[in-house]
Amino acid sequence: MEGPIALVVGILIATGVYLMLARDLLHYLFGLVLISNAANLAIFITGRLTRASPALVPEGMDVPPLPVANPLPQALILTAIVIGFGLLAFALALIAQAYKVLGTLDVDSMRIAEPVRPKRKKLP
Amino acid sequence: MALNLVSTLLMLTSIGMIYGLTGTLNMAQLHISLATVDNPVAVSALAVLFISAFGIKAAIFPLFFWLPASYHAPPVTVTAVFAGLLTKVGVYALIRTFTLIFPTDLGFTHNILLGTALLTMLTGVLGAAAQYEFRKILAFHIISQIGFLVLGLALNSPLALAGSVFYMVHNIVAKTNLFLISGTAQRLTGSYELSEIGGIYQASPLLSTFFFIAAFSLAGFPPLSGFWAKLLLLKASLDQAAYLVAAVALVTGALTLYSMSKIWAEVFWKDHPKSYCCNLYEIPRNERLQRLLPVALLALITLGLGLVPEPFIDYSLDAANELLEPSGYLNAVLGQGSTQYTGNH
Repeated sequence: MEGPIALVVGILIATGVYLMLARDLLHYLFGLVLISNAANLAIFITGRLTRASPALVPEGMDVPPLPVANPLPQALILTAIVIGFGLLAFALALIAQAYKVLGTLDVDSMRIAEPVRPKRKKLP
Repeated sequence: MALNLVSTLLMLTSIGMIYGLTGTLNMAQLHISLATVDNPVAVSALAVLFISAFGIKAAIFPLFFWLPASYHAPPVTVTAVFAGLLTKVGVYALIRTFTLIFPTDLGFTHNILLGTALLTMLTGVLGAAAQYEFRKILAFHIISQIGFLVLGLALNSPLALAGSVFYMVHNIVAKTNLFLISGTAQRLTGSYELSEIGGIYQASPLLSTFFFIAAFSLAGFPPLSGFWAKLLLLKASLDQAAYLVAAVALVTGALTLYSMSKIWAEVFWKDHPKSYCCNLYEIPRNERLQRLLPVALLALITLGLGLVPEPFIDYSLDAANELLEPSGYLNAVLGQGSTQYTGNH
């Protein structure tokens, strides 16, 4: 199963990069979401895909009965999903605010930080 | 921010991969179990992933473009904190991972690091030479100094790493100070453009002295802290007969001096273009104190680092030895006598 999922990760990243290269900020955001999901998926399969039970310790035992699925990548991804969701919401809010203030989502026309200058005066 | 997210994702992926390869995320244990992984190609690929992830954060050569584009936008105090800390965290992460986790294929990873370090130093300082805005010059200089820090790591000798550590301390202090001074200069003269301001030496010789200390320490003038840091790195590169490296470091130092003297001449010596002159004492007393005290404190630290460098160099050498000989760290983390432990995968 690892092979096809690795392929899916590759396709997701390729799509994400393509979207992130767009000049539209919203496309950029979608690309970011795709790539973050691809990263999560990649971490998930590094724990190896096996037919196994969840790593829960039943009552009266010290260790879970084997075989168990590797819980660590899942824990990592759970954190990553929550953080990713927060970041997504924050970025979306920033983009909405940028649209409100600037009236555009085209990155090339956002030039407050680096205005197009007329010819520079020579230093004396 | 968006680029930082990308680098975070890269880092997360590579951490996931490293877990898949070794079955552990404990740095001390990784040091042991990565050496026994029988797939050197995968390890090298992971090392490159880590270099690019931390490289974006640290702004090393091909990945530095976000830094000069963003550092002149926020208020200057924010920039000062960013300039002092952000990129250095990236370098710290690089130093930690590449001394502890990836010392397996030194010829491969450290050659990449060496090449990027040299290019970072040169492009940063050349970018600075082409700028005529106070904060943009400083921002490009951050890049070139990141080059010096990575250089210490890439040379991989105790002296070079000590140079890196010392340079980092010196650079955090001096760079933060320079950005704070640029803020006060803007408050006095009304702009950051070198061609539109001037006459600060007349307005406040004190502030000019502080700038002089920080800027010329950054350029590596002898009694100041930057000199010792650069001396350590130079000596380390000459010890390894890496003459090209030494030459690049010296040229970078000279070009740093060029743009620092450009700022000095334009902002501090030249008269203000509109004969209006500014006076530090026009600023209310409280605000004046708030502006001058941190600057003075940081300048004093720079002076102290420069005049009494020996204890600091000793500390840096200790840190470097510890980094290159991590058995003490391994024992502390894994427990005594566990250095034979081979991971659980």
